[in-house]
Amino acid sequence: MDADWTEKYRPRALKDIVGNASALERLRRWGESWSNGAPEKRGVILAGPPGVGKTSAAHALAFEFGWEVIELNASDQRNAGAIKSIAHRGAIFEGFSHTGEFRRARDGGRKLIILDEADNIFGREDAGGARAIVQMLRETMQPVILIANDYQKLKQKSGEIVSSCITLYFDLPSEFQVSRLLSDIAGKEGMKATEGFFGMLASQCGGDVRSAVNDLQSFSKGGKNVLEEKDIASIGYRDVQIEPEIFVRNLFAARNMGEARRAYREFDGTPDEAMLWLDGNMTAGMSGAEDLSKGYAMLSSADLFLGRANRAKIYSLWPYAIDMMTCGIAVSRKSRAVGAEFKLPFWLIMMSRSKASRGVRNGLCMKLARYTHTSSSAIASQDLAYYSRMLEDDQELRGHMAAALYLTEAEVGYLLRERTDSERVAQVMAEVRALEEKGRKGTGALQVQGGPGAG
Amino acid sequence: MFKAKVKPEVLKELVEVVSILVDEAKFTVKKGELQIKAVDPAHVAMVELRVDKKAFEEYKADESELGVNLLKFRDVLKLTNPGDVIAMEHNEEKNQLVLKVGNITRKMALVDTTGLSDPKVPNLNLPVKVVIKAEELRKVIKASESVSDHIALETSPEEFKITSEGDNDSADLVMSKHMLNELDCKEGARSLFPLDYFSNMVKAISTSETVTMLMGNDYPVKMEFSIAGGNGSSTYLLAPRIEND
Repeated sequence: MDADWTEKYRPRALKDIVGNASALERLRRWGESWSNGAPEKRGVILAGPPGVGKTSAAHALAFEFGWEVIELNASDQRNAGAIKSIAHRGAIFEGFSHTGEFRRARDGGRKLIILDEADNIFGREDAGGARAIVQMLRETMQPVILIANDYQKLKQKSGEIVSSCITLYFDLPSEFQVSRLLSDIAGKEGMKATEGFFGMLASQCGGDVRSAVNDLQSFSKGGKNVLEEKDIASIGYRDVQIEPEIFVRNLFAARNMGEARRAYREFDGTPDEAMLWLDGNMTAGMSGAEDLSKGYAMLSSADLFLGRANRAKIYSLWPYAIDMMTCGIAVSRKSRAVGAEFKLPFWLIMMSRSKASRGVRNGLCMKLARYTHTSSSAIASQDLAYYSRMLEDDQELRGHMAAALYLTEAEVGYLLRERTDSERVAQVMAEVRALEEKGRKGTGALQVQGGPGAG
Repeated sequence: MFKAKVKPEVLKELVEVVSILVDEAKFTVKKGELQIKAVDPAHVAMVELRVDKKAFEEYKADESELGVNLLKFRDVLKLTNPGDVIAMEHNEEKNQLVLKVGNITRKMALVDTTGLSDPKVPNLNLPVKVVIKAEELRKVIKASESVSDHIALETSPEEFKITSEGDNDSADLVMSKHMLNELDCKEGARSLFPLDYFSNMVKAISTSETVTMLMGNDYPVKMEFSIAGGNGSSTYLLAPRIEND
């Protein structure tokens, strides 16, 4: 079997990596700064979509500076314990290379600690993972690189990790760069194809160099003499899905309508989400009052279309909204904002924080609505406050209502404006159990003695 | 080709010595001896071990390499009783190690050796030499655990000192020259090491009565000791903490 071309042609030096020249230059400068002892920022986060060379860059850096690599990747067991025992230990002690040489940090014999897929390290069950990384970054005497596809996720999990590192963004390389790389590899493999073939293959990979090289290798097995554009039709488009943050970055970098549309096409979300992201990041992506005002004007026309589409359920209006916000922003911008940092929109942060309590409220409203033959939105907007007030003073009503509506502790807590584990909620639940007990003995039916339904 | 019979306690000792650092290791089989070398995943410690064929009940081998999962190996050793003899044979076709204990046969798939480390023990300039009873080291380990994560090895021409210092607690062992089997130190030296590794290393030294420790200033420590009742030898190397540069 042939060797995997992505491995065979994996870049060994930083200069061999396609695209992202400025990020690579900053990475090299950080590497150089280690020659005068440990620099202030001892960690670097390489953020960007899959297949653009983040892991290759980390390895190439180690190779160029002659550093030993300690890597924890996704296939290893990566929990707080592994980070502590392998990465952290490697970070504060001198070491031996895999061939057995003793390497002294002071003499440049460093170890590069690479945490691949750092955004996926901490699942629900491993809350200590983030803390272990922060601890390591604080104490390390060796360079550390964290690699993340989803920078926003990493940032949300632990702001401290992000703030103690330098973040370098890797963007999708241009089609031209990818096609040149493909043509190089093909040359070395003795594969013949037209210029158009490489261009087409490059445009279809959506910037994912790794998959482009994989595709090229699969064509090499076809046995055809000279490959042409029309041969590509057989593989179809690769579906690239990118993070919202990268969509925002690409959109604000788009120079024309085509690039703006392409940025949106790769975005995996609804127009409403796209709108929120653009709205939340407008001030970071546009500079100057004129650009900003034009941008917001475009966004508000898009909002009009979206509103109409959603109210009337005429989704054929979506394309107008999408063009307004993507192409509209791209053409209304004169200057370019450089190096802006894009954030999760405030509204989305608030929604995710209030998700649990909204869930409880909605459940409660549904139960009340069914009991009182009202709509749940009417309960939510009008009646809920009265119920809360009524329950405040009426202990008997509390128990009966909770029992009749089968309210959960969280719902009782919501009505009483108390924490779920508070004393008062516990009292109500005890009363419910007593009433149920009584009901089972047949000494009285459960009844709500108040509220508009019964009154 | 590799075919051998061995007492479980010999194998147990050997697996114990290596498995404190790695879960998988390359066994290099030679005509007259078995060698194991490994670097731990954090690249902080190294082990080299040689067992002469005399330590085996039977030993027949050409040169070959076996990638062994030590955790599996340890499970097999749990099946043995004192007095048993384990028969091992390398099935090259299936790349399995076939182990027979009494009437149990355990076929163990071997690991690809290309991914396993194969270090050479480096030539280090370690001017200080201490020969100490393993028992003494075990004592100080017991006293130091839970005091700190680190342990300092310090020598002067007159004494050898092992210190563990925590935020509030500390433990130390001081041995003057006449209490040691040997102390050869012209200039004072001190290095700081990870206690858990040091402790595991000391605990893995089971049959050797003495340990030879070679040290320098902010430099690795090398610990040499015998295994398999004198029919083998083993070396641990442990890297010191990086001091501010």
